[in-house]
Amino acid sequence: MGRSTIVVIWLALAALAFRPIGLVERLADLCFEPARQLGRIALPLSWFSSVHASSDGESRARVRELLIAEQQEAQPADASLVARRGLVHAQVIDRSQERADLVVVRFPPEASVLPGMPVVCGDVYVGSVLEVGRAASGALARGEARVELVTASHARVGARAGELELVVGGLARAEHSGGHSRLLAVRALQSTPGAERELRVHEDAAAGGEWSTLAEGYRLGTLVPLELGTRRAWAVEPVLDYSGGFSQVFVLCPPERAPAGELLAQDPFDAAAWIPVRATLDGMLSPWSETRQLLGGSRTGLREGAAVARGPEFVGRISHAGLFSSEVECLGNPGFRLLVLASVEDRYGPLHLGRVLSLGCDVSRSLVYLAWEESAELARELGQHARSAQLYTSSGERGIPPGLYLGSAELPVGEGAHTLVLRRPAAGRFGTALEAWTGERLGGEEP
Amino acid sequence: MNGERRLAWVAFGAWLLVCFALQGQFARGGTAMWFPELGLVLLFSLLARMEERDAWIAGVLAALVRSAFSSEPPLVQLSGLLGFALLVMALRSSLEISAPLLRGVVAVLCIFACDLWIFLACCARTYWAHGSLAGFEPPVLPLALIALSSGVLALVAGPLLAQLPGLSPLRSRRW
Repeated sequence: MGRSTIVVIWLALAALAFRPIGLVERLADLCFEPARQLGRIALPLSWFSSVHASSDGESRARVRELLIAEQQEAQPADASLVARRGLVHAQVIDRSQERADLVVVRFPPEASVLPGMPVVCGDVYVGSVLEVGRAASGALARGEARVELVTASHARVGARAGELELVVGGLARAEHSGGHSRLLAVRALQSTPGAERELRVHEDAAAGGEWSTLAEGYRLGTLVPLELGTRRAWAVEPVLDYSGGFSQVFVLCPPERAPAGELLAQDPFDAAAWIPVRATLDGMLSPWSETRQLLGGSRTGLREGAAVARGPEFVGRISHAGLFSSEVECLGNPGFRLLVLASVEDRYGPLHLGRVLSLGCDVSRSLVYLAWEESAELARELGQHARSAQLYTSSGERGIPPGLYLGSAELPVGEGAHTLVLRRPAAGRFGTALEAWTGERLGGEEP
Repeated sequence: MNGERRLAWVAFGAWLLVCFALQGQFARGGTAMWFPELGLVLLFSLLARMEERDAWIAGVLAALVRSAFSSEPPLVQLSGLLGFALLVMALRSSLEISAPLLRGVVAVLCIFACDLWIFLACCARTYWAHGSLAGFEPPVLPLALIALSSGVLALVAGPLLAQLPGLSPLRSRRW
């Protein structure tokens, strides 16, 4: 081939490198698949890798305690909110980044959950069931339901503060144009609020539907004035961070519809939920990224989105699964996003930090910088002092079980944007013997 | 292509495999910020002495072997390494890269360009996928350090790398 022909081919490749086209990508993947198997030749090099040893047993026991505490904290504490109701425990397994008002939850399949049933977390109203999965195929499996949060633009719930009755639903307009509001919008306010500002659900079956009255008495937040230019309106300061502040919820139903027994079992370390996988190397060729290449693909049961771990430690998520090889995007890879739980001293249950964004690692790779938006609800919870915390994965992303260890970090004080400095025990040296999570149904569409 | 040349290509692939594997294994932690691009230095060393018509084969072969250890998408690696081969050929026709110092300088330039290309292509793909480049910062310093260390390696060991066993049928020029 002449130089001009090669230059033309290169120009086409350059365009495709910057602007991928699905079909061409799949073809290129297929062509490169045999070459990826050459990585097996490097496996003996892993003998020279020194891998940090972790105390598996102790940390797994701590995680199990933490997850049980999380479930218990999600149960309503007020006895009057439990009376004459059945409570079905459910876990958030999918939280869309694009549509934050919809989440997918998993509940015991034998429970009779129906659309319209209220969903709560502790004493706080979260939203209602929108759709329930019926078959093993489709977007929702049996035992899964889509929940519409009260922050959704067309969500409505009756509420009462003292004698004042009103309707709440959706988000209030931001005080500054272009800003993101987190306050709930007040609708149909008939008179000026009095001294009583704490809002609780007050539903009428005729208006809210058959199941709506089950949420009667659950908390929504506090009525606060909202200045919009020269106009004064009212909004609700929520108790819960709806954008990522919960992962365990309860669906309210009539007592006879709730299954008897324990909370939904969740053990992230159940051996049956993991398969061993091998990475070609314990390193990578590009210094700015943190990825791994696995010698196993969809033929060995690996799926895109599945977590990869080394013992109780989180390594990353499978970003692409070919037939016989897969790529893993690790926590230290810039642009990596993950829902995070924090365990702080002197607190029984974990805190939900929401989604963090990786900004990359330091030179030694033992520190990972994470961009984090601290919610007002969490800032109130943390108080006036920075707290050191152990960080774990949270449920809310298909394929990633809660409780995988990330590292330790100092949680700063104050609402707003922060950069967390995460200290990893293994400094990004995970070795080549890893495990991939296969414990739940994967590949569901965005909620 | 005769049997001897075919064998030479296989040997070149095997040497590339060794170089990329060693690089992936030892460029960990802090070392990753300056460890030379062994595979690219070998490719550069051979391209400097190769027939121009063979350059694209060397680029494609390097992309295939590199994909065994790197998770960048195939087309990014292919365009990056084919571009690298084209750049070396273009510079070789106008500069005398057999001179040690010039060889080092050209290696620094070409390797920096190739690594930067791969980074930019990955950024572009992330942008198309997520609509944002949050978290990405141009790693100019690490890439410059890696290019410099690779340049030093090309300066010191370039001729030796081109003389690795099995590669003689692919060499056509002297340093």
